[in-house]
Amino acid sequence: MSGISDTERMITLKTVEGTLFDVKSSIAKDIKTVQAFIDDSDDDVTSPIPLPNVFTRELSRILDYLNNHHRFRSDIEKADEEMARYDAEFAKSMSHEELKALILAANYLNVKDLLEFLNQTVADVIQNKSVEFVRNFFGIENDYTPEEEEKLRNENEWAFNGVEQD
Amino acid sequence: MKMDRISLLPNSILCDILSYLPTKEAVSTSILSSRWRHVWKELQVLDIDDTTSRPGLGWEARFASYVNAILARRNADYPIQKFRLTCYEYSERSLTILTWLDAVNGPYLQELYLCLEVACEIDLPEAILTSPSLKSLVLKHGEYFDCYEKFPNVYLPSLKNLELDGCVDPSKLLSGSPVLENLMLIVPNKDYGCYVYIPTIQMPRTLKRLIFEDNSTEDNNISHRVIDTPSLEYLYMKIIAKSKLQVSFSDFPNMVEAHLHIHHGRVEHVLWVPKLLVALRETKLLALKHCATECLFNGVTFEFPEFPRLLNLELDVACFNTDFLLNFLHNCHVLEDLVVHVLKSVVYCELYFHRSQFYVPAPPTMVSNCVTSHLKSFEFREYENSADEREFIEYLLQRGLVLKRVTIHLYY
Repeated sequence: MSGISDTERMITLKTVEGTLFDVKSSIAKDIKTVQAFIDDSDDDVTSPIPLPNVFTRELSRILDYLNNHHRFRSDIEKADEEMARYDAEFAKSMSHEELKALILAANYLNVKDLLEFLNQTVADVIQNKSVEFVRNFFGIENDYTPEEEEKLRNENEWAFNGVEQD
Repeated sequence: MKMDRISLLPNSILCDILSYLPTKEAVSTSILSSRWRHVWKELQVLDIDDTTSRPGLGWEARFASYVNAILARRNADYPIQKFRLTCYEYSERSLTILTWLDAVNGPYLQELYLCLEVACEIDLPEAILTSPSLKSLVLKHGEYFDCYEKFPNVYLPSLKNLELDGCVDPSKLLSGSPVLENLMLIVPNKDYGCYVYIPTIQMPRTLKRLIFEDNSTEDNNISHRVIDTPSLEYLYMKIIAKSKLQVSFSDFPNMVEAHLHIHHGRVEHVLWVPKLLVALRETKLLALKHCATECLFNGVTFEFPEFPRLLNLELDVACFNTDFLLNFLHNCHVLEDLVVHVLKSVVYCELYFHRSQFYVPAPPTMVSNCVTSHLKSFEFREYENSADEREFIEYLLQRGLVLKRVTIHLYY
């Protein structure tokens, strides 16, 4: 008799604050940075994998996202619809600060689908906004001199028409 | 200087963000700070639109030089993967657009979207029509002009998605796309600015999704439409049935969603519709819109096919007929969702179909299985409270043991 174990192997992740998260190995596969760590280890990974750049708050949201997407994918009937609804809710629930923090975490962890989704969300936020809005949103300090900025504006003059209303 | 954390991200991530923006806006991020100055040059997705640039004299020349500047200044180490160009008002010679297309085409180009309304004919470069990398091609045009006249030589071995809207004979594109899965094909009618008679349209066998709207059929010429696509999962078909229309099709064992809008004048023109319904019997969703249900009443005995997997059924009917509905329900064993729309306010069909002509076999006396144990939702549009209609709703309410929601829209 061949016994198929329904308890999946778990992997433990450790955030900056030291919080531990247990993650199914099928979910860890989507977190490329973690998967690379596992692949590089000779033995089975039993001790927590440290994530020196990821905070508890972001990791917990990322795992939420991945768990939900896994669940949707296992139920093919209405996967796309449910996923779209979930994603829309997820995008709405984030403040701008959280959104940026999540991009940094998703980038470090190399979670491709989530990162694409977050990038799209950022694009939706900054679309049709003024240069000042975008600078504020990203926290960018303008290091151009007024002359340089003027010169650039003239160079790409066409691009700046009509975007500055707000 | 102290860098904000977002600006520390690699260019690839910043470019991914910019790729969701119109290119015009992506380029304007060069002004944010020196860190952003050259980021847009690595964009591999361009979305260029002339609509925002129109006001002011000489905008066309400015638009052309702007597009030229983007193409010239971008970093060629990052080849273009997606190119989207919308020109509604641009009346410069087609030559400029052709040079742009030459510039964006390459072994990494995967998606090309062109929506052009230019007063000149454009022959798409053969290099694009034989691109080995192209996965998606969308050709649309504005209201008056058709710019894609000829397709001399087409071979698109990677093309999965094709959308064509215009007076174009699609034959070469269809036969030159051996792995096509999604097709949207809109063929306009004769009253349109231009018209092309297409004797035969043969859908590629590999299709999974088909949206097909054909207004070009004529009474005098044979129009043969061949939908021999056994892998099809989604079908939306809107067609005007004329005397010389021939429609042939395969069985569709993988069908999930089928929408039929069939306009016709005479019942003899739609004798193929009942057969199509049989071919669609595995579908989970079926919508018979406008006059499509009428095609089933053709005076000859019509055997209602069984729909063993049908969950959602949407029927437009010209007049309410209880026997017809009960017959239908009897053959839908697991139906959960039924919408009936009696077309009282709109006369869609020429009135060849009078009630007296309906031939519907008497329904089985036993209550159909789906009503007692599956039907969860029922919607009635344009309810008039006639005796027949009332009786039918009573029937559902009494026997629908799992019915959760009934929605009735009154007809005024």
